[in-house]
Amino acid sequence: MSNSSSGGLFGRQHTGSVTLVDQPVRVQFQRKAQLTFWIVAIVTGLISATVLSHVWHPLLGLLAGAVIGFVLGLLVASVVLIWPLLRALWWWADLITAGLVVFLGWPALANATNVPVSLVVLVVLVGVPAAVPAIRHRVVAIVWCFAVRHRLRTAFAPMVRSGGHGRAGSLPLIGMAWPTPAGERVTILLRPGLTYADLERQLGALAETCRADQVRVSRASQSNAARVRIDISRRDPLTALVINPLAGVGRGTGFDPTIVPLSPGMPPVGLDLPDVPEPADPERPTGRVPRPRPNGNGSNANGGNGSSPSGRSLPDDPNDAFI
Amino acid sequence: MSMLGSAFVRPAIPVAPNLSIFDPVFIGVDEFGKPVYVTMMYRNKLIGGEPGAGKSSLLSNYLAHAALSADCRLCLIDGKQVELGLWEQVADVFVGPDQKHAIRTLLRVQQVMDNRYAYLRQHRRRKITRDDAFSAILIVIDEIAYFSATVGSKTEQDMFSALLRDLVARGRAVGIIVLAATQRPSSDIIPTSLRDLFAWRFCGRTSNDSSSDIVLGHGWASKGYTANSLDPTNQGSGLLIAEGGTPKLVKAAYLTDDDVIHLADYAAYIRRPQHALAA
Ligand SMILES: Nc1ncnc2c1ncn2[C@@H]1O[C@H](COP(=O)(O)OP(=O)(O)OP(=O)(O)O)[C@@H](O)[C@H]1O
Ligand SMILES: [Mg+2]
Repeated sequence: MSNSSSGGLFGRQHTGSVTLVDQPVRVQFQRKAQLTFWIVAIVTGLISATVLSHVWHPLLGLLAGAVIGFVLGLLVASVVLIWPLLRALWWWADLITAGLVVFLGWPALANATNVPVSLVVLVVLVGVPAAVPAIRHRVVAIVWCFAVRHRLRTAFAPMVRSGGHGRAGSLPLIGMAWPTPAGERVTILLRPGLTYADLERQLGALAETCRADQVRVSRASQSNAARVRIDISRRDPLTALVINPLAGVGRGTGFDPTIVPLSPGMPPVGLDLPDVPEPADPERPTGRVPRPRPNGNGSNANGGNGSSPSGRSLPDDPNDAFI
Repeated sequence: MSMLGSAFVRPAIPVAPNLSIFDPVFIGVDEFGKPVYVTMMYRNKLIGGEPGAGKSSLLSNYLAHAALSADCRLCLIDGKQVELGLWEQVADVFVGPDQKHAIRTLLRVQQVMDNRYAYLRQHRRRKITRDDAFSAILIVIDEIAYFSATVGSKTEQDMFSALLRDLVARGRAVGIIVLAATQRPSSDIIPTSLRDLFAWRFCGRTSNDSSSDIVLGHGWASKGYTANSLDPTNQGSGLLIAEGGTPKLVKAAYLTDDDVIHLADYAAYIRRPQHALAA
């Protein structure tokens, strides 16, 4: 962390260092900071001068307004100036916290108790989640949620760079990730530099970067096109059989199915190939086909293109006329 | 409800489950484990997917609800006979692999539709509601391809498609709902003009992205919604476009044959008084 920040922030690039804030970004934010300073200083200075000169002597009010404007402008401008660093810290907040917990927590624990006790605590803390599948799956899912935000950012960076927006393009804001039964769901806010269409084109790359099976994008809001939902799917959550609750309707009410009349049983005739003669020339649909069984509207008898006379005898149906 | 045929020994008055075709139908769970309900009224539905994807099983869920709803009549058209045949006793019309019968049935429903529109016009109304005296008519077609592209002459096939398109296009407001399943509704199977009228679609697994797009509508595969990525061994899972407009991963509920037979019997029993229209 310290190594990379010294390399990036203060411009000395040595090979192998991780650039935390690029040179152009730094220049860009310096300019933004200057502008912010002037705007904030003038606006707040004027407002407070106006207000204060009503309360105090006008000259005193003017002076106080200038001081307030200067201080506030400086404050806001410095936040803007170090914004890339703050953003980077925010991006890595989860890892920094995890690191702090591990590197500060363990010595603290060891100091507070003796070695066997702290070992027991460690074993319980790590062993129980590892041993109980439900907890383990939950923990893994949450860890993926953190990981996936970093992975998405790594995937977005080259897309923004190649997006034709030059240096002005900025990364989308990546919202919280939530575990879903299939994987994770992340909502992002697109900003100039990356469009929905870009994302659609890069689904495969996103899936690879997220080590997922599949990634789907959809709009998260009907009114704001910039809000996009990313569904990362790693497994099929829908393998269990779903029973339709209607299956239980009428069971246990003493309902007797035998009172429902069934059509009389059909004799098992014409169920095998030798029983079914070849139909007459299929080219001539009017040709009579010998019918294998008396009440046959069976599928076999009607053969390939079924244009043989209708198996069911439907006497004098007026609607037949149009055919 | 009071007039059960005296031929039955058991005098018990059947307890109808109080379902209505206007109620949302439970069809499965989504990938968050939440139940998925789909509105039946005023919505035509298309189901696609490769053989064995679970199309007919999904139809059973809709049919179970419709059969138990006393305010809905069923017209079942099934080239394969056995899928919808289990529901034959609750159906007002059951059509097997008989093209002419299918066409006559559609013509009959078309007539009903025109009469209903005439009635609504006389009463200065635009659509039927839950309180109307006449019931909804659900037309379920398993394997559209059989009637629109396989059997019969070209004229008959076109006739079938044209009639169906008319029902899909105009039937909504008078409670005529079409629910159709086919493996791959490409333009050689059903006319695109018919396919595009089905607003709500379910796509079981398909063997490639383009088949998935044919069912769901163009462009979904490029957004990552392709039924090609579903696990072929996980029958019943698929992408559903319903309310919301974005495909949702859904696992359809399943009714075993035993359940279907029981429900069909029970539904036949409770809807006997309404069951007057002969096929
Ligand atoms: N929701 C489901 N849950 C579990 N198993 C299912 C589900 N749906 C279907 N299956 C299984 O898949 C098998 C095939 O389903 P089904 O007959 O509905 O497929 P289909 O798409 O209608 O095929 P075809 O195109 O040949 O008609 C069923 O027999 C059942 O075992
Ligand atoms: Mg089927």
